[in-house]
Amino acid sequence: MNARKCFDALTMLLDKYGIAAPKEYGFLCDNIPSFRADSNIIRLLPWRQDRRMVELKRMLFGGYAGEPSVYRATRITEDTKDPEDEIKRELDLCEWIMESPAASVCMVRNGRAANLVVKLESGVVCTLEIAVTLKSGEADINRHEINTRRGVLSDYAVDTQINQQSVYLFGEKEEKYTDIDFELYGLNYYEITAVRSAFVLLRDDLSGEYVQRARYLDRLSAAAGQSDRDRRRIDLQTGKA
Amino acid sequence: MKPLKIALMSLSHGHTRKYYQVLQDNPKLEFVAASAVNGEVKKLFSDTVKGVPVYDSDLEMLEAHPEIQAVVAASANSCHYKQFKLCAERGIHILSMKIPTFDLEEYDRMIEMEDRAGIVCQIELECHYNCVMQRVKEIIAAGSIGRLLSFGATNITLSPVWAFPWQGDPKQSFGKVKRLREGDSRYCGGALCDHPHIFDMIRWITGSEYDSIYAEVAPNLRQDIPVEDMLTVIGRMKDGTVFSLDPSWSRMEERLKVPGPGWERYPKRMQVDLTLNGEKGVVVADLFGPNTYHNAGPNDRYTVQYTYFDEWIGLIDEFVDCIENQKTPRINLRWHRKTIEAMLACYESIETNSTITL
Repeated sequence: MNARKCFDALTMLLDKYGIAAPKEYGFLCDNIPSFRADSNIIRLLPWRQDRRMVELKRMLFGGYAGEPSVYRATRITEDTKDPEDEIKRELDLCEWIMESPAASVCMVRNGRAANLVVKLESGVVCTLEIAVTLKSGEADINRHEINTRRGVLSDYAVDTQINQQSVYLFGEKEEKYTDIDFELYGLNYYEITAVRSAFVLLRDDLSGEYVQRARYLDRLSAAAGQSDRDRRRIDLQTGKA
Repeated sequence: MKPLKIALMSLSHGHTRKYYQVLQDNPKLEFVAASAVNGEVKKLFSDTVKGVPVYDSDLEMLEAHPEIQAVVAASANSCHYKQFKLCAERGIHILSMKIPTFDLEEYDRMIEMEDRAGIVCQIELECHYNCVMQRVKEIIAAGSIGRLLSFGATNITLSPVWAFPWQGDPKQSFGKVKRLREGDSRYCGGALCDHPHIFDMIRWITGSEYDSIYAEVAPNLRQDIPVEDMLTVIGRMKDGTVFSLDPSWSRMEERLKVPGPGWERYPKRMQVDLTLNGEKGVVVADLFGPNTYHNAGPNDRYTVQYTYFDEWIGLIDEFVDCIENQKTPRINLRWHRKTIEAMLACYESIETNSTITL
């Protein structure tokens, strides 16, 4: 992630759409990027700007689907990333997409790989499979699937195992490209989603919500860690098994 | 060697029609006879398979054909013990469907009968004879991704209960009527009982055994069946590998009495996928493909059309080889017991909302 590129892109969007900018602002390019707005540092929720995640949510609540039963997510990314951050990402996504908070969590972790079962207050059961095991530069493997009584919603095609790319270049060099945002053309996925997340934060004044959410995700992932150490499910209301 | 004289019992298992083809096509076999559990499956068999007599009971068939050397017990799980006893008493070798029994006392008696009779009992876990599985095993054995950190697998299908009603009957599928948990209207005997493959595969790939299991059952997609159809399982092996297994009936189906074209509502009716994370890399695999696709008849719905399932070639080759050479099959009763134990631990975990240590 390039902080300068993100800053320039955000500035362009703020100018274009007439959104007031803080006096000073910028990006901190950690695994989960943060946004610096004057003296505040706010952890972003960039995955919520992934248009596939937005569409899954829209399909689920927009009349396409029946009552949901199971949510499954697989996220495999580079081995330079922090598995804790990836766990927080997927915990946030399952609650946000399914519009229900977690009621219990059970995790088993083995170094850079973790599997979680999260039961939501709505009764939907979520399985999150996370690993930071790919080599640098390899494309992430993301699979999200929601099983409902009417059918399956997912972000990957039937009979495939990894995400398709938009452009495949064969020749002296083999290259693959997936460009997802015309206005922010030239930025990569992580830069785009970070910029869009910061834009939404400023446009809709979500600082307070994002700060609260970051603290909540810290607590939720800590509970998952406790579950793994104690080898038991954690009821999030009581903290007990 | 002369072909093995083999019979097909009951004709009520989901793989029965596969065996119509296998027992006729494989040159190592001579398809001698069949027994039918009811008139409906008897007619289906007679209409489909010519030249092979079909009887109204296992005993009638075995008495009419003392030359039978082996059987495929293509029956409901609850019938396996009785059929096993019948065959063991006659020294007849058995190719058992994937769940011999969920009753561990019965299971141990089957092992004793097998030992006493000196027969071969092989369990039908055909994924071992799948060429993609073979490739994955070689990759892992070669250390290409280093020490395994996690094993993820799906064994997900549509539900067969409309065509094979015993699979939606707790007594016939699980062996007894037992509630999933207090306050739940459902019983043990659904999707979990139909999908043992991945519980077995992880043992082969890791070379390790189960340490702990946590399972959670989800709301049914099919609200009108008395057994579970959606569940998820995570846990840890003794070597530290963590796992995530999905044995659900998560792909919806048309409620056909006889499986055939148009069965699928979700395009792909069956899926066994593996996702293995290691210290040095990742393997993702789909056991069934490459496939073809259409959105033509009968429902003009986009459908994955599988090309061929050749797992039964290797499976039968091993079965015949073990009989001819007095060997024990790779997937034998003793080996398979720990897989059954793990599946029972899933039900225990669901019932108690707790992690089960094995």
